[in-house]
Formats: sequence, structure tokens, C-alpha cells
Amino acid sequence: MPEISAGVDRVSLAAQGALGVIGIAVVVESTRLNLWTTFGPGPGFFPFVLGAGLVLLAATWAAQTVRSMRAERGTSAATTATPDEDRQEQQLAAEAAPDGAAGKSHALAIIISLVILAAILNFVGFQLSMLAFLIFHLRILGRNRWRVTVPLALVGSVGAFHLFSDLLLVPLPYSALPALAQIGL
Amino acid sequence: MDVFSELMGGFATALTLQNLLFALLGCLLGTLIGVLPGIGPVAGVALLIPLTLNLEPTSAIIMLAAIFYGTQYGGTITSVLLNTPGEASSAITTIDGYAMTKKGRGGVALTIAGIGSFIGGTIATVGLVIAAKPLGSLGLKIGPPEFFGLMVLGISLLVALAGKSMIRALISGVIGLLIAMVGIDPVAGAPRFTFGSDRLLDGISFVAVIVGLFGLSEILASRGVPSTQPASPGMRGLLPSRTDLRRSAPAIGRGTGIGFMLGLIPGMTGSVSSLLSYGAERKFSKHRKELGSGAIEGVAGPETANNAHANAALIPLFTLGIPASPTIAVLMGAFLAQGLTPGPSLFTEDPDIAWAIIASLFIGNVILVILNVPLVGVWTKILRVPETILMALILMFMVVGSYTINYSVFDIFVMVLFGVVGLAMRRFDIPLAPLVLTLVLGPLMERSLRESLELSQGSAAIFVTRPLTLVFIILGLVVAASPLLRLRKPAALTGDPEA
Repeated sequence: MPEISAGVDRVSLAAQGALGVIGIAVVVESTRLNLWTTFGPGPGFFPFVLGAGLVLLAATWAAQTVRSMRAERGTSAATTATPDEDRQEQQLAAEAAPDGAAGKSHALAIIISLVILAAILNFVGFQLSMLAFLIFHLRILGRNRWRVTVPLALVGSVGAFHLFSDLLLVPLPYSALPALAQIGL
Repeated sequence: MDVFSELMGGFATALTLQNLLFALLGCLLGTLIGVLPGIGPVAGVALLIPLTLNLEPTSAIIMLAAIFYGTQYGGTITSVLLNTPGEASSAITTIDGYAMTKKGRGGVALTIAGIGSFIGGTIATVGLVIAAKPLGSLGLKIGPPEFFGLMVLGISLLVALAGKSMIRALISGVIGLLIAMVGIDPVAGAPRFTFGSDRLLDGISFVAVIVGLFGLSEILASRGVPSTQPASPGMRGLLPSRTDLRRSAPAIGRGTGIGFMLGLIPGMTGSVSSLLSYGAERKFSKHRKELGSGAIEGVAGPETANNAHANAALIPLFTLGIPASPTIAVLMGAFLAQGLTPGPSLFTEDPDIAWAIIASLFIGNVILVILNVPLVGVWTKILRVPETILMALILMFMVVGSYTINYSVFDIFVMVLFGVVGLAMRRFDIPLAPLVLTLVLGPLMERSLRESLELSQGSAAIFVTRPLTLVFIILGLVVAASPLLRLRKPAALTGDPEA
């Protein structure tokens, strides 16, 4: 599938570009630190070498990608797919697409839920924020029944809080809201 | 004091009720991590480091080491009963292990795997006892330039053997080193890449990075595969026949040798050992024609090899302070978090702790072989829990593990960020292992480089005028040029999450 392959390679080129930019940023920041002192290398020396190395590696990887894109383009121009092969490829792409889309939205849901959890953890406290987090994962993402979701979410939030804080002596945060903290949440 | 007396002293410490309980807990948690999908040994050990910070160093390391080798046993259970490896080094066991399950002999496969793992692990630990003193003495003679050369060699080996592309493995290694640069400079004390934030002065949390890269990214990459329903073999089904034992013995011997030798080489993961052990069975076993259709040798060899490998990989850590694999690198991070420096100085500065940990390796192997076979039923019950429930609970532990390392929600954001980074790295086939190794070794490597250059007043000639340093650096360069020598990782292991 040349179109998909070309798309993939463009994404790779974007990633290589991002790595190159990070490398340049590290080099620039390193020069602001001391590169060399009278005793030898300064705090900026090692990061400077690493930043430059990252730029070089990203450029080499990009060159490899461009070379393989050109080689692939040459191959796809030389060979003509039969109608049967075309149909097979379209079928495979159709089969793969929903799974890929579902996978992406599943991953996105996990990331967003974790970010929200981290943002509200100190404010609402561990028990309530984790309770909401687990209900979301068990009921909405996992499609488990309420009779499974509720006990598990309680064990994973209130139960885990007391396990870590009281038994393992690893304190987890109470709510910053006095009203909630006063009732032990 | 001779080695035997010191080891006996270690047993006296390791056999206290408290340390025995921590070893037991570690073995159980390790097996659970090996059994559970979505959480491998690297993230599993990292995740539990915060729980051990309140413990005294000996108990903490005993528990974490038990978790480490417990994962090897746990991974076998899913390989044999579900045809799904719980962790990478048990992948090859699925071929004959699952074939045995289909024939109703899954219990026998698990018992033989347990016996083989015990023998392989115990012999490798004997190797550690024998090698500890002489290699440790050698390690004490090396200065900053030699240490720098040794780390260059170790990182070169890992980079050369990880993933499909040397360039991408190097990128991974450089990213790890750059993350390690964040915070206070270890020599001059100047803040670097902190962007004015006080939170970054202590650097980026190692645990949060590892949990994100190895644990969260694995969950993000999974597409909600429905859980299978494994059958639990009854106790009678667990007992191997005399023929099974006779046929397994040579495979266990070969697996021990292969796993032990490869475990000593930085960059070799347990997966390579188990794969090569399977290859040895295909070549040397009397029943090689049965391999692939449920031959006991196909389980005994690889399972022995990966456990021998896991224990032998502790030798470079204990004697030279060089982690041979990502999980060992995490273990090294735990040593450092406890104020212990793994390496030759461990035997001079904290000999009691060093020998207690070594003694606990023997004890842990005994615990695992005694516990795991009867507990197979419990583990299979856990595997029947729907994956949506397991994933939610694993995410909860990841949040708690990341938060409790510094009691800061900032580390949860770091974990999420590196989960996304890990997902991208998997997507672009950038191996994760070099990043972990350089993340742990970065500060030590920079310190030894700068101390060396300070010794020579800035002259890089110090790295070529000292014979041992020169040997290490030349070996490192030869390894770095390995694509030309075709020293590549076997294609079958390119999906190895450990590498």
C-alpha cells in the first residue's frame, strides 16, 4: 500500500524533525551553561555533545527514511498491482481501520483521564478522584456492570487509600477542601 | 573472612522473619507481575520502589530482587496455559508449553519449568558467590577513566543488541542521557535544563519515567484484547513422570550453561537466552523431532535459561556496578535510592547487605519452587479476571507508584508524558532498553568522564594512555561497528519489550 507507506514515512520524518529540534535546543541551552572551566569540562559540556549527537542521529535516520521512500516509489512504479491484489489490500485496510481508530480513542481516553486525575488529585483528594477515575474506566471504558464497578471502584479508591496510608505508611493526599478533609476524604 | 563465612553471615540476615516475609512478598508480587498482562518486569519493579523506600535497605533490596526473579516464573504460567507470554523471555515457551496444555499436560510443563528455573537460578547464584570477590577486587582497582570506558562498553553492547536499527537504539540512549542531565549538575552543582522550576532541581523522577515508558505505553498500545479462560491443572496433573524428568535433565543442563554465560553480557536479555536454549534443543536433543508438538525439552531448556540468565545478570551489577539489562538497571536505581552503590565498593562498604542479598537469592528460588507449583490454581483464577478490570487496577497502581516517589502530582504528569513518549517510541521502532540504561548510568558516566578529564587537566589522551580504559573503549567501538560484523539480535526477538 504505497499511500499508507508514504503517510507513515511522512510521520517518521516529522518525528525525526522533532528530535532534531530538541537536539538544537539542547545545544543552544548548553552553550548558556559553562562548556569548559579551568579544571576541565563544565556543566554544559556533556549536554552539548549529546545535543549535537542527537541532531546528527536524527539527520542520519531522516536520510535513511528518504532513501527508503525513494526506493519504494521506484518499486511501486515498476510493478502494477492486479485488480485482485487491489481488492485484497482494500479489504485488509478496511479491516484494520476500525481497530486502529478504536485503539487510538481508547489510548486518548486513558491519557485524558490520567491528566484530569492528576489535575484534581490534591484538590479533591485521592479517594474521590480515584473513585471517579475507576468508575470511568470500569463502567464507561470497560462496560462492566454497576454491581461489579461500584465495589471494585470503592476497593481501589477508599480501600487503597487506607491500605497505603494506614498499613504501608505511604500517605496519599486528602482533599484540599476543608469540608471534604474533615470527613476523612 | 572467607567467602563461605560471609555467605553464612548473609544467610543469618536473610533468614530473619522480617526478611523472609519480604522475600515471600516479593516472590508473590513478582509472579503476579509476570502473570498480569500490560505490566512487565521493568515497570513492575519500578512501580514498587516507592513502597520500599520506608524499609531498611537490606529488606528493600531483598524484596525488589525477589520481585525481579519472581516475574520469570510468572511469565511461564501464561505462556503455558494461555499461549500468551506474560513477559518476553517466556515467549519461546509458548510453542511446546501450550502444545502440552492442549494435550492435558500443562501442569507437568509448569512443574518442569519450576524445577528448571530453580536449578538454573541456583547455579547462577553459586556463580555470583564465586565471582563476587575476585571480580569485586578487580573493580576496586579501576579509576574514573576505566569506569567511563566500562560504561561505554556496556552501553555499546546494549545499543548494538537492542531493536532493529543501531541509529534508533543510539537515539534512545541519547534521550536517556539527556533526561538524566535535568537537575543539579553532579560535579559543579549548577542547575541544568530546569527552566526555573524548583521541581526539576532534583531531576526527573526515574520511577515515573520507567512506569510511563514501559507500563503505561504498553496499556496505551493494547487494544483491549479480550481475556481468555485458562483451565487450572489439578494437583495430580502437576506431577511429572520419571520419563519427563529424565528427558528434561539434559535440557536443564544446557539451559543453565547458556543462560549463565549470556547473563554476564550487558545487552543480552533473557529472551536471547531462552531462544538460544530452544535452538540448542533443536540441535542436540534426542527428541528434537517432537519439538513444536509438546516436547518437554522445549519447556525445560528455555525456562531454565531465562532464570539462570536473570540471576547471572546480577554478577556485573554486584561486582562492577554495571547493569546488564533494563530490569537490572531499575534494580540499580533502587540501590541508589537506598543510598547503596552497587559495584565493588558494596563488598567493602556494606558487606553485610551485599551477602544478605546474595543469600536471599538462594532463599527466593526455594520459595518460588515451593509456592508456585501449588499456587498455579490461584494464578489461573487471576487470569480469568476480565482485562478491563485488570487494566483499571493496574492504572491505579501506576498513579500511586508515580505519586508516592516524591509525593507530588507532577510525577503523575511525568508518567503520562513518558507513556506517550513510550507509545511513540514503540510506533517508530525505537527500542526502550537503551534509554533505561543510560537514564540510570547517565550521572555516573558524566561524573567519571569529567573526573577523568579533570585528572588529565582537560586532555582526552587519558582515555588512550591507560591500557584497561583503551581496551574497554576499543571493545565498545568494535561493538558499535557490529552491524558490519553482523552481530545482530535474532529476528525472532525484535518484538522483545525488554530490549
